[in-house]
Amino acid sequence: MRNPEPNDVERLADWAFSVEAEAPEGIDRAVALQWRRMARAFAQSYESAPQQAVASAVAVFRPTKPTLLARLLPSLSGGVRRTDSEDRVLDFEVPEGTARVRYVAEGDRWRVLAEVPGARQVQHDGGPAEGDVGRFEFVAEGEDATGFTATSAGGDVVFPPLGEIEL
Amino acid sequence: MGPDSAPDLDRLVRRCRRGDASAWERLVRHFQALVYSTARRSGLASDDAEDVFQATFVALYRTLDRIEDARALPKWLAVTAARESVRVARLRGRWVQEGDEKGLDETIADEEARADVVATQSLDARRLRQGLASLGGRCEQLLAALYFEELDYKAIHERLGTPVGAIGPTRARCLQKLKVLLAKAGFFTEDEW
Repeated sequence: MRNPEPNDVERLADWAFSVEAEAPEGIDRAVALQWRRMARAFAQSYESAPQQAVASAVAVFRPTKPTLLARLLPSLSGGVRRTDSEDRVLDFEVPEGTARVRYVAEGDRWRVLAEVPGARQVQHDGGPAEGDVGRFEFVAEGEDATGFTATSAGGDVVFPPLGEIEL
Repeated sequence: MGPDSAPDLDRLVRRCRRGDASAWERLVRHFQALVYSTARRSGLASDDAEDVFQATFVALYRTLDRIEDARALPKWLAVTAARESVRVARLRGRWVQEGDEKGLDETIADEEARADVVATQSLDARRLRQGLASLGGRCEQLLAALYFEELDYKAIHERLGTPVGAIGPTRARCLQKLKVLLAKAGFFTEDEW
């Protein structure tokens, strides 16, 4: 498949927004169809919902158990520490005190080592994490999979994945 | 992963099941335009479309534990919103006359049959707008003027100052840039559906 020449681009642009069925001569059909798909997307009705409707839908969510979001401690108080390479150590405020989570880069994966006071169990995307009371460890398939939920007597605490934490 | 990038739906659903409210919010924000546009496309006024919107996400919330393949979510949401739109339209006395059950069934069947297409088109439209926003500058202005506002070349010249003779070639170059951006964002990949 060759890349379209500048003149081809103008022909493709004309064709993509037309009703002609046959792709322009000399242009790969697969490329032409991509152009047409893009052109059609311009014509699709797309209307964002009003903000209050989105807020109401967001508010539908009611965890069955008491659930808190672990709050990252500010970096000035030592909440965020970058170690060598891409490793990170983050401190979070949880009901039983301070949780410390270490994220260790292992290629595309991340090893997550969590010390969460009072936690009996940690669930992540891959299932329950290995560990004992308060100390857990698991390997995440990517940054987006580094989130987990720690269960203690007081309820569940959600630790968001690294990509969603504002450092 | 940024707030507007395509999320891993399976992962978001699993996080929702674990009680992660932020994952639910991402799901809602990711699909809000699909659901709302489906309702509006059915001819509903904004108030009714908001009712459909709310009902659809309530239905999704109640279904979270039973979702086996999150990749089917776009279609499921489009079907649910379409059905709910038919129901609301019927309550308002539009589309279907009272007692005309066949008409209702046919309408729902039509809407369901279109669900795949509707879901794909709505998400394409979302990605296209994200791509345009990333493009920014004159290209974004020109393409929006041409294809959303459907202005003619003379009006575009008056607004943007671009010579009429340069609009065609500029449009082509901007579309080419947009296509490259969309390709990088996975727009042309069918696998994720």
